[in-house]
Amino acid sequence: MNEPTPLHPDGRAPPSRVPRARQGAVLDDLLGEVARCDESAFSALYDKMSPAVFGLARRVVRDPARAEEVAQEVFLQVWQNATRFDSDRGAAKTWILTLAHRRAVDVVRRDQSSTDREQRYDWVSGPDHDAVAEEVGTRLEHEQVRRCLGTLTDLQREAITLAYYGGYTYMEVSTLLEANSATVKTRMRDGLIRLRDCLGVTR
Amino acid sequence: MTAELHTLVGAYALNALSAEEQARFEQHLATCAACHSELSELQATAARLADATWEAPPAGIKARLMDAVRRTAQDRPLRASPTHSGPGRWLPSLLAAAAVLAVVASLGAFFVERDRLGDAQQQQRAAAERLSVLEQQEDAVASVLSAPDVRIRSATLDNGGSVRVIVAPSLNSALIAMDDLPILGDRYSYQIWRVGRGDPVSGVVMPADAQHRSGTQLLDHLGKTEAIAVTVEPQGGSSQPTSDPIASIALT
Repeated sequence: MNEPTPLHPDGRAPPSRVPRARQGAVLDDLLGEVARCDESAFSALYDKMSPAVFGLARRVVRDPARAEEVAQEVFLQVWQNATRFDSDRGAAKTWILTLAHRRAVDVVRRDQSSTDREQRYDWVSGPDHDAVAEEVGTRLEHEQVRRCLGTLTDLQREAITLAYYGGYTYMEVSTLLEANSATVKTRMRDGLIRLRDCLGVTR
Repeated sequence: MTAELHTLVGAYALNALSAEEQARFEQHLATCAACHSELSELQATAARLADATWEAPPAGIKARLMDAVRRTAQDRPLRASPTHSGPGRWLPSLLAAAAVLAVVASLGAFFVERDRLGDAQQQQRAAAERLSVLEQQEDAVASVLSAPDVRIRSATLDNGGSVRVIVAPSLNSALIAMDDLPILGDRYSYQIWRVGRGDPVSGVVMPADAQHRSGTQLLDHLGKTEAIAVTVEPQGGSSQPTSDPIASIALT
């Protein structure tokens, strides 16, 4: 586990010094250098993105050893496919986390169909949150995600978190929530749209 | 059907589709320019959910990974950069200049490959053979462009790209020039069909390494072909179309 993050005297994390847009541009540039076979850029990209990739894999697949495998596979894929990343179509961070999520979901669907995935989506007080020290900027972003998830309807929020953190298909989500599958599908879309607007995501 | 498919965009961004639905949605995506911006925003939104799961990985991963990276080659980029100058010798006098420029612009990939192979020719016989094939194609292209009865048909693809068909009935041949094509990725290809009285017959599948934004293909032996259609098919093409055409152009 990490060192605890130092807090401001008032107990709140200090604001991140680097604005989100610039952090994103740094990642885009690094990935561009990775595409030109630059190993030191890959090393820097790994340092910046590995906690997000590993944490996501760990949340979705749960088993730490499997999560490690997922993280390694994802970063190797980043290395191989960096040449095909198109920054016109999205940010490097999104691209990497989309690969990571897809890989983690594939693994969890293949590994286990019968274990207790439904326990995994508790977004408000997941067992890891308090134990895991987070980096300063991320803590604030985490707060924003939590706050915005709180603005969704229960069905929107449950559908999105079960799918994203639990790796369920929308059909499985509709069974778990005893809701109509067409409704769940629609709530995933309009819930994400509301979340997008709350977070101010542009692409 | 299309509207129903489109509502899957949220579930797709969350990776919450079955494998079969995912394939169907991706096929739809390839033909839906409007879907792309919504999808990339929703994917960026979904990625923000990972902010809540941040966790440092065990230290050993990085060393293993850096070692693997040193031994792993990177993929070739999907998009080439078909910039090209000097189409002068291609200008056939029988075509209106504007139409020719539009066509020649999309011939860029042709020239790039030819030039690249031209350099390699001294070193590699295989390249020389390929070059001669390309030169024959070039001759065929030039013949079509300068045929006395040439005519041009154009259409917009449903996914935002455009296609021009330059037909020379006297040569029984046509050039299909496609531009501004959305890139399909590894799993799908553009396939051109000859449409006549019976079932559509495959004309040509755009080569996998030519999935940049434009491409030109020559179709000969047109025979009773009445129209050209374009579909998006699984990589490598299909024996019969598996999706609705994204463009269909009558030759007459």
